[in-house]
Amino acid sequence: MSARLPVARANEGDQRPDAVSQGSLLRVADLQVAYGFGRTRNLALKGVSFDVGRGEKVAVVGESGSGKSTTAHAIMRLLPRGGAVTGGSITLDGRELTTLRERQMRDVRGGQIGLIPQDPMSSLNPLTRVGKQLRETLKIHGRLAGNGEEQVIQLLEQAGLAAARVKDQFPHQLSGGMRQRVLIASALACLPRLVIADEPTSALDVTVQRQILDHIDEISARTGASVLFITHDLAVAADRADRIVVMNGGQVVEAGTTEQVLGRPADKYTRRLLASAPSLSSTVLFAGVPKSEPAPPVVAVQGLRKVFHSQGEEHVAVAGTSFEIRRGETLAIVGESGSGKSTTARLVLRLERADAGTIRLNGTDISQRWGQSMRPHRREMQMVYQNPYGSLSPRLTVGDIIAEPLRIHGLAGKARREQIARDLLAQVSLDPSMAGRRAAQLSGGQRQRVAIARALALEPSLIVCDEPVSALDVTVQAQILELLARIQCERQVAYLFISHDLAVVRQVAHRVLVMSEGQVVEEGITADVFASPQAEYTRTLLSAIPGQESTPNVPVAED
Amino acid sequence: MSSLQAAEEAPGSEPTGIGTGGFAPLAGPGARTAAGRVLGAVGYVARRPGLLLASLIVLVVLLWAIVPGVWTSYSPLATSISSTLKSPSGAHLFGTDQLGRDVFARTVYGTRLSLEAAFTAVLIGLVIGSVIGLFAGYNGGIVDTLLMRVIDVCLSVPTLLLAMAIVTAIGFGSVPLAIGVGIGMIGSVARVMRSEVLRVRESMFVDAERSMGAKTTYILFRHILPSAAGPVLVLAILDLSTAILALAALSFLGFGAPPPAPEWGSLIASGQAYLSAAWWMSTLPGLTIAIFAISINRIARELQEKRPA
Repeated sequence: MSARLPVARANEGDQRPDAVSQGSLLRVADLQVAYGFGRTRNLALKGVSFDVGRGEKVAVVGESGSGKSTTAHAIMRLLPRGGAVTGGSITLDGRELTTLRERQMRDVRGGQIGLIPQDPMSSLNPLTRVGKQLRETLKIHGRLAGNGEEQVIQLLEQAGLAAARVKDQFPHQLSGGMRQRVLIASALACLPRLVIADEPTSALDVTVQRQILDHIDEISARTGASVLFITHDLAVAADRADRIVVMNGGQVVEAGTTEQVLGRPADKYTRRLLASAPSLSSTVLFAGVPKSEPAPPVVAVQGLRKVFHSQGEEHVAVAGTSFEIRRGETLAIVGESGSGKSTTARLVLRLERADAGTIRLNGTDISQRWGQSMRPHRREMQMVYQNPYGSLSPRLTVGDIIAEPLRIHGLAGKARREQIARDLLAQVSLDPSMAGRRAAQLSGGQRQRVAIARALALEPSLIVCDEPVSALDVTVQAQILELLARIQCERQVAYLFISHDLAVVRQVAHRVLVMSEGQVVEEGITADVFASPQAEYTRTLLSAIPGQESTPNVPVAED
Repeated sequence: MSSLQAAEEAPGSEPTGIGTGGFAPLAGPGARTAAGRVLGAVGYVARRPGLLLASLIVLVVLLWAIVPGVWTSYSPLATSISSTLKSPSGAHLFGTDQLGRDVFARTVYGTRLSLEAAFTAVLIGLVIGSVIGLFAGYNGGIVDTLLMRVIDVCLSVPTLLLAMAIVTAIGFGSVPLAIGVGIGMIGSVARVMRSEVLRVRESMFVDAERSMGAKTTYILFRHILPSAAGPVLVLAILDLSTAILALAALSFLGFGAPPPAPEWGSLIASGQAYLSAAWWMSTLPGLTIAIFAISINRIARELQEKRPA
């Protein structure tokens, strides 16, 4: 241990009996953070105040741009270049952090405040074995005993990993959940008194998410560390936090105990956030199940199978899936990453070659058609991608993007295409004057609207939506789901809706197909599946959805 | 994150165009019009003295090539026994050579020949290299492997050596010289083009095009080629200065246009024998070439850095 640390500890020890800091470990008071200088200066935090008590779990909740991550970075003094604390104070155990010298701050980071980062995929050094990375953390903070071998094993075991094997593995050999456990082990290596968890599970599947959150709970209970969750997910906050701080536009709009904030939200923004968050009790958006017609279903898939080969190993991505979707109906395919749901979508769209099975589109078998003979059928099915930032060409204008399918199929002249693009913009509730802009000038929600408008351009009978809202904030997410439902009502288009989010699926889908490791484990009317799941896997999935442990859903005031 | 937060959709209300003010520098309505764009570019250059100087030099040299008569009253070929080997003065800016010809006039008139050859060389490298890169990158697999191994071989031979071999094979003169240098440039262009194509090909909007039913050629020419063109064009401008130097070097060695045609490289070569008596004959044209090449480089670097990702 370095010479400085014991002294610092001793000082803090003296302050402990102090009545002021008795309750709170971290105190953020009137914190202001600005990015940029001069005219381009932009206040990211406009006077943020909150406390975290000893052993308490506090969640800072907000949408992108609310300043919640900036708050976390400011506490760690890890603001990105150009950002600076311009006012207010941050005290940890009565010790001011904002004026601390960088050398002292380094001991605080990792030593007294542990950070669990958002992205477990990129937060570990890919070239170093896991055990060595943990040993380095210990070494930096002068906590290495001997060669650290036993400490590393102990830390990994506490994190619920098979230490003997994992310590000699490289990060790429571990799954996302395992990597997050390693990061938790690293954050807790030096027994910090405060753990900041920055969206610790947003990159993980729900079942893994629950395990990780349970694990954080357990560690906090055992070591007495306080936890500061930074999250966009109200449900996670509801389940895990003692208190909730709601942020919007760089300000705290509401703070209080979890019961207070969720049960009696005082602020308008909090109420809107609550209303937008999809949960197992939010309103169902789709219209009633369409009557069965004599016409053939829009899509009928029979025994679809796809095997990927990599390095001599076979991986069955889709093992004989069958389903059909009728006009005006939404079928959701639900599953965790690797379940084969996205592959199924790509097989149906004929973007991948199926190894077996038939796909009938409006009665015609398209599974053996390629190139020129497939083109006319492509007009009948369009896709909305998960990531609205990547799926729109950065060079074209919004008008051109929407009219692109018409151009590809040579269906309309230039003037006519422009007209259609404007009409479609209006239909997805965007200003037709946006046709001249480029995708980079639009927000995520606006881009997804453009992507939907493009999918509508050819008036297809099937739209495949691959996680269409998972990259969006909850309030925007709700708007997009409503738009999809409205379009279905108006046009009787069929949706194949791919999602990992059961709460969203419950809102939009007539029927649901649950996939796990390429197999369909359950299929049925959405309400039935949610009410009485038959398969064990479905039950696990449903029970893993956050937001069920807290107070029953909240009466939401209309504004 | 900061760039996104400015563009949050106003929830509840119908989204309008107002929410995107954060992108003002590139997206202002003024920047859209062609005149506004040119004005913006001129202002940008004027604020950077180095870039301004480089741009002016390139502009002047281009004008030498287009209208050489405006810049000098002397003929590049007229000899004058009375004024041989005169040092630089007001009458003869770059002095005169052993036959009394004005070196400045020869430099100015030589520009066209040298630049024509350089542009031809770059064009050959750009077109052939782009096609190979595009083809290899889009198809992948065995085609890619084969083409890229050939390119590797080309790249392993020094450009000058390759050009000399080609000129020796197909004959001397400035057109064969341009072909030789151009072929030497195919490799680097093909490489850059291929890597750009690979990047764009895997992007989601290209996948979206495929799902809409677009043909391969349509995707190649409407989406992949324009997206990949930026870095390749910057490389081509950089190659232009390399080509000028390579061509000068080769015509210095005597592979270029036969005398008395003025060409930058042969100008330097002809002054070589008189270096102790008339230093200006080689030095001043040489400096001109060097300054021009550096100026082109400066502009290319600027384009490389400012190119939006």
